[in-house]
Amino acid sequence: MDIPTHRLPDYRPRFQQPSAADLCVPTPSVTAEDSNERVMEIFSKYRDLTSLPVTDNGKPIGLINRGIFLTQMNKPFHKEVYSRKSSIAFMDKEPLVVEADMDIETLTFRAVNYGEKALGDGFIITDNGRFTGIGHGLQLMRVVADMQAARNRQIMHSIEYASVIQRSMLRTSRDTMQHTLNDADLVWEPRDVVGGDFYYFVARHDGWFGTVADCTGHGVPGAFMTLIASSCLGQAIDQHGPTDPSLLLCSVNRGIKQMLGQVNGQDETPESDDGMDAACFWYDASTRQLLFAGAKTSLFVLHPGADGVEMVDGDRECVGYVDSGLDFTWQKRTVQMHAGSLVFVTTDGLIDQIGGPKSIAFGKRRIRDLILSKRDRPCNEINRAMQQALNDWQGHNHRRDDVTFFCFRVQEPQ
Amino acid sequence: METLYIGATPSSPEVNFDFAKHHLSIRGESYPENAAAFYGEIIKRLREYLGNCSQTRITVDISLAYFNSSSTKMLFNIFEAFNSAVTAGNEIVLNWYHDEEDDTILEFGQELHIDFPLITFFDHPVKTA
Repeated sequence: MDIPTHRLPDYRPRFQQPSAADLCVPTPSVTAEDSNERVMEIFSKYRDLTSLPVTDNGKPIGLINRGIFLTQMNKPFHKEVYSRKSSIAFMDKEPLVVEADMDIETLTFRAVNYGEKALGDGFIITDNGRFTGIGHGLQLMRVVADMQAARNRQIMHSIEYASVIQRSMLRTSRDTMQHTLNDADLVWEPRDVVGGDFYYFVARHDGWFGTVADCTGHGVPGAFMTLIASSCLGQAIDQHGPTDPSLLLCSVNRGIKQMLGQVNGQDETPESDDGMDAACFWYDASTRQLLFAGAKTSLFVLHPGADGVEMVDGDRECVGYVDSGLDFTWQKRTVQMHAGSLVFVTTDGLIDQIGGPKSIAFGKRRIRDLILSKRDRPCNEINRAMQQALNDWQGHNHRRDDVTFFCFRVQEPQ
Repeated sequence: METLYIGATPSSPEVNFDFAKHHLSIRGESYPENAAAFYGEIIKRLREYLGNCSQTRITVDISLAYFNSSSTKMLFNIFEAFNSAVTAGNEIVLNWYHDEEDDTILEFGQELHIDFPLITFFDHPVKTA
């Protein structure tokens, strides 16, 4: 059976890229045979007409600007001399002329290159060389602004939907964290809707596992990396269990390298040089020990009664990336916790945020001072104060990176 | 060799490599969307220049208030190139500028000093009002 495809456009709306035709306003025109008296009549009749095209056999040959025309005609004796002469006397012989099917982007560049004249007087629009009307600069700007907004909207819709996927991925971990820990709080603020930071929590009867990680980049590429790193970590936990953070970082390191083809021969340059910084830890409930392995990430620890916040530094080697060793082992550090010990961990987005009176990094000292000053408050209050301090510091500066930080307090045994 | 100059943008630093005077400087902030693309050509030109240097004293001024992790990777590549240039018989003097209260940049400089001991390193805390 024949399908009458040619009829499709009749009943299905079809979007067409806007073109010069969309800007076309039909206007009166004159020919070279018309006199300036006639031009004067038309300008008097159409008060809003800023320019009047002149055509020859339907083809545009010039554009008469109202202001210039009236100034000329009002000069002494000009009316007497020019009234009966041809309308071409005061016309601009080189107006911008474009075809109706010219796309808006090309038209915009043409108009801008043509200069103020094309935007002020307007430009002539033709169909196969024949005059059809005039386009105006203001209307062109409106269409360009609309197109710009539509493009932005389309990109933002795409990213917003990506954000739904990224948040769903993080959701299980956040729920686990909230159900497992009595006094804990987590802040995850991607800079651009989606981001390169992620977290991962697993609970077991004998303790719990947590990770706060910062993948290369932010935005969409960063979010891709979180999916890769997070699934590598999930597989590593399935394989090795959650109790050895050092082993898990090694496993994620290999996973990322393999997945992104970073393990090629030495003279071959891999396309991806990406990876992550991370803090990985297992809290052993029976011994109250925190086993920690860190890749360019430190723990801030404040024990009850201690004078100051203690830093537990990780290794300086990143996870993934071309130049980190395939067999690198991140050291496992054991931190003895006590009932009431506070632990705070953050990605570098908080530490490095530019701001303050001198536009410098937020830094670790401000974090330590804030934890110390709020040491008796619940973790969610500490984190709210940290968010506020970051926002105050940032002030009118824009956010430089994704920010994730996690705070928890060791509980009395049940 | 012709000077390599790239003007600063909000997310990328000013790069001014005056090869003829053996004076190289990087100033500003660095978090371009694609750090590898931004630094690729810079590192290529730098390597060409360093390859032609011998027994030369090269001064490098770096004043960066912020750089993201992918820029850090690129900076390390630059410092590795400097380190090799020292092995090849040149002298690299690195002036590391930071605000006197900016511990984050200070610490990064100290780590650089440890990682690249062949580079003559001067820390310059800058007093600002």
